[in-house]
Amino acid sequence: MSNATTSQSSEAQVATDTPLFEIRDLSVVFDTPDGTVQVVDSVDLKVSAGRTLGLVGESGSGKSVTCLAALGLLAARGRVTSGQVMFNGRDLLKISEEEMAKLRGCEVAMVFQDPMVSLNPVKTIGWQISESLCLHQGLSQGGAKKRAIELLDMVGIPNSKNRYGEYPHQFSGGMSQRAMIAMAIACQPKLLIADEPTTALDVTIQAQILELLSDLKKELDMALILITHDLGVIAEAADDVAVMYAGRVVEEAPVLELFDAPLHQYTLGLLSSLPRIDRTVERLSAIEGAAPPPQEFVTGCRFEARCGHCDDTCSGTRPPFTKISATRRVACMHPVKST
Amino acid sequence: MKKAIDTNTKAVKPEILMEVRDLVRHFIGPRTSFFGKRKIAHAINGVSFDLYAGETLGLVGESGCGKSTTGQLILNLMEPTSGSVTFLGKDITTLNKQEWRSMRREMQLVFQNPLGALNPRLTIGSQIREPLDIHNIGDADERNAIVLEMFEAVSLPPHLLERYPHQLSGGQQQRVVIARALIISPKLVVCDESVSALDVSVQAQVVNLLVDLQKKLGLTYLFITHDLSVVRHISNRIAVMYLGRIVELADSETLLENPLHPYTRALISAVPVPDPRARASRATIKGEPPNPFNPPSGCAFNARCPHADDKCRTVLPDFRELAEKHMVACHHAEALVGNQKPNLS
Repeated sequence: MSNATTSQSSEAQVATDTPLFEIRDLSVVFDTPDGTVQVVDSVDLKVSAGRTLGLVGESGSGKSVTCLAALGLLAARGRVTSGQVMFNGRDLLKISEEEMAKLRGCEVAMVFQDPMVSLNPVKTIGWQISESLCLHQGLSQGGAKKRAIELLDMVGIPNSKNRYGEYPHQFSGGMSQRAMIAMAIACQPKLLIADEPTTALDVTIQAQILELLSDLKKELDMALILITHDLGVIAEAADDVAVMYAGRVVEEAPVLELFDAPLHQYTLGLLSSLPRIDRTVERLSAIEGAAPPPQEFVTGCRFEARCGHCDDTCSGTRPPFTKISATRRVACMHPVKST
Repeated sequence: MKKAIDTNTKAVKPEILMEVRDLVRHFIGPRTSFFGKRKIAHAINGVSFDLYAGETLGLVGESGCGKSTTGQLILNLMEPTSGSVTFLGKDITTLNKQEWRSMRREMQLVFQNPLGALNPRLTIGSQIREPLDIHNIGDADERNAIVLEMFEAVSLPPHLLERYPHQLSGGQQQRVVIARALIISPKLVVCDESVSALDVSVQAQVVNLLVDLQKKLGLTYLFITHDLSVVRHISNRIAVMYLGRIVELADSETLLENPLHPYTRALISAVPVPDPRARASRATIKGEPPNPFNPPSGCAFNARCPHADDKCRTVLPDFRELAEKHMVACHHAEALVGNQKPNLS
């Protein structure tokens, strides 16, 4: 198995024939008192073993909802209206809730933004890690404890034997996030989805957590989906990037190509509006206006109202994807011309 | 604009708007035992700096380092345990209520979360107008005129005046908060993580707005944030805080291009740069900031510092001027000059 996946990951750079996890044409709607709103509109994503897919977008662009929907974790008002979620040859949208529960936390795991909210305050950290080991791997309590302590060591929690018995409030933010990661990797998942894993943390701790995630990815040969709004984090940790805007993927590219030569006007705008620590700019070039709320999503290009290059072709129909290379595509009628 | 101020500082000594000296603030912790003493957290431990008229001073640090507490103390929203804050020649910590009322017009605060700072039941227009009502400025017509003018200054369309906060987007809400803070023309504005909650594209708009308004109205900003990239863009000078003390203070470029304190270096190298080619050049520091209830002896950074020795573990380093206008609190700062510049590009 491990041999197979290693060869796959090296091939992945050339051609991604069979990705480990693939979202095809996924659409999600939410029922609200004011009617039905579509928050995710025909999203395609894929990630292969050993790779990190960075999913970047502003708040409300649908990046979290896409992943939650793929794992059947939508809130009661959310519905998937179309699409397939292929994981290891199975469609996750078709399997029963029981099978899904077996899969989640075992083969697919998730890490969320705020560790303090995700952890149960009245159970010890050790108990919470052991729980999934007993449940998914059928370990005895003693065995689970031994393994949990190993996991705490693995994610870099010092003095793991004593900390096993401590409660979440005794952990700092960074340590809790490490504990959450320990829990997520407890069953050696093939896919880890990290939803803004470092947003609530200080920069020095963020650097530590990103390093930990990339080490673990290599060690366990996982596929990693990193959801974030921070292009700095993307540049730091992702192999491939999908840029989302207003419920759609607008550009997909390997990380170097994206930062060297963004093609979608939105990606370009986003990159040039970033304040940079490594250079002084006289004035930030802001994108005018704000991203539309889901109630105001249009069929045509949703960036049109803020874009300086739009014309009649942009409205009315959804801009189709232009395939640039095997790993790169863009949905823009007037992509940025490279200089 | 930065250059304009730089040349000013060389030609004439800039006017000092506010002098903060040896500010200390302790918090008393919760009772953990019926008989035992309650622990004291040293949130602010002797902070001193000057704010020059018309400049932006960036105050950066990780959560819990005391940057927001400093902001509240200099606005007299909280009483310091000791120390003084001199604003326009008066120590504001000793003012009586009446003197304070007229003084507080000169200083305003803009918070991180605009929706939390706005009243959900009042229209935008009446909220922006409220400071004028409170301070009794002008008659009704004049007030309305000032509100309209301010609304235009923060580039909001006039039809939003009758709306309620929840009907506005995050960026628009923050513009309203800024308009409300600036309408009584204060001299000093403390921005506490004012742009941190906004998406990057909107963040850039608000940062540009703050810079424009500063030029137009001659404001002085104390810009509190954890985001070093934003602070480089907006500040003339930057102060780095760690566990209740300022550890380094210098002009923005100097501080970011040639940091002297090991903590500043670690902080800068931890910031993810939006350039995938800059990967792997970083040195991450181990560990986490110490607990203010139980601060280490000597330099607060000693447990995480690669240069720490016995002196660092026992003696508190002085905050001293090492180069021109470059203050640093580290025993080894001299040895670090010019050496190990963090690799940014």
